[in-house]
Amino acid sequence: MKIFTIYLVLASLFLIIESTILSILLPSLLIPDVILIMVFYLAFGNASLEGVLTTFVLGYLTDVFSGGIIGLSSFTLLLIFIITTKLSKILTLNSMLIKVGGTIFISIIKGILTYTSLRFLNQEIPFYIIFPIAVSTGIVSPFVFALINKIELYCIPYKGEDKIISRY
Amino acid sequence: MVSFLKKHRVIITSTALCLFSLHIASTNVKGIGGTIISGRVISAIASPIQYGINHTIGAIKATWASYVYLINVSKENILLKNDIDKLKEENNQLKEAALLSNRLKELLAFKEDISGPAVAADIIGIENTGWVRTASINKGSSDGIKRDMAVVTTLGIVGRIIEVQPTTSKILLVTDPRCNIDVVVQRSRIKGITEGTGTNRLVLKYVRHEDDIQIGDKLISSGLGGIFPKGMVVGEVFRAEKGDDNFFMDIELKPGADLQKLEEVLIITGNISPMSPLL
Repeated sequence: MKIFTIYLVLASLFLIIESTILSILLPSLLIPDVILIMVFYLAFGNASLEGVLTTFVLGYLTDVFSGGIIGLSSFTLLLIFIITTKLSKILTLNSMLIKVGGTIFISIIKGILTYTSLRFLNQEIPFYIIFPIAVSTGIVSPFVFALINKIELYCIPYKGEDKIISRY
Repeated sequence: MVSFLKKHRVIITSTALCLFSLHIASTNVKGIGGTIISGRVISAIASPIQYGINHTIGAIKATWASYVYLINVSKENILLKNDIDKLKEENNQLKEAALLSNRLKELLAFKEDISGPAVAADIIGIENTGWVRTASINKGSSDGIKRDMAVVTTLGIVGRIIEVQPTTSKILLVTDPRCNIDVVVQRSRIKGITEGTGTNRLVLKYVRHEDDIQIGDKLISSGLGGIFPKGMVVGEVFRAEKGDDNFFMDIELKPGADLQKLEEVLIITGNISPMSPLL
């Protein structure tokens, strides 16, 4: 429940910042997908029912906040969660290459899933927007990982240390 | 069976929630927003914070514009620094008030021109991530705002209301892929339909190769559909090429309203007769 609460509060804060400060500072195609980074990090260390439900709620929150198609972000983020839990069995988040490269890869996968789902729902968007978003998400990912790690250590000290050992 | 379910509970739960989400998405794709109780709660919590942050950003911008050029001030200016600081601050507040007044005067003049009631609102948030193009305003059902009301500025159509809470509402911008508007080319009266692309551009569909359309043509709303009033600018053609299908043209537009600099908008609250012009 603590993990769920932490991620819910962080996601809400980020979505508010995204719609106010980031939309002024950055062009739309360079705003990073911090919710995706959070799900990526969550899947690496918390492949449990709590992680699944947290991912579902984060996707739902994203759609309600942005006015997008309700359910679409939940769908794509849950698939990303499943893919990442499989990847976490062979990789760990212990190098910058894995953090940045893995996030870019996962962001491109999410972009493809979103594009395909929208085509399935008879909505057309340009395909190229996936790539600048993936690069900006990858660049920001180490900082977001460090932030979430610190917050988890502060709020769940004993469990946080376990997480560090298992992920790094 | 039970041990199988327990062992694979994460995958089973994830798959079930995936299918549930896909079902919600496929039934919700055109039924935008709707009455979602969680949306009201989220809006009630988030909108005051968004409003506060936007005001803070405005104050920071004003301060930066006032003080960045004071860095290399001379000795004589240092002596007068306190007076200059006070005067600059006061001047800046007056400038902001004057700019706001000019914008609101234009909006008021435009509102008086249009044949119907309208409500002015401030933009408190813009959603520009991925493919979604929406914006939030500080007026809601308590101000008479309802779903599918047209949102405009003096420069043209901004979008339509898709979600209404008691004190805030969400606008679907014309550049969102879910926003389609029936339009007419002002010069040649060719009909078509604009659609957002999820970027800062629109496309114009169903215009044939032999139709008379060129770069610079303005597109205005036809009034069909009963949402957008007739005669309002939707966009301007900036690219028109023959399409790959050898039948329809490939036309790209830039929106009439400057969606990157939205601060105040008008929501048309009166009933719109489909074919009667707004102005």
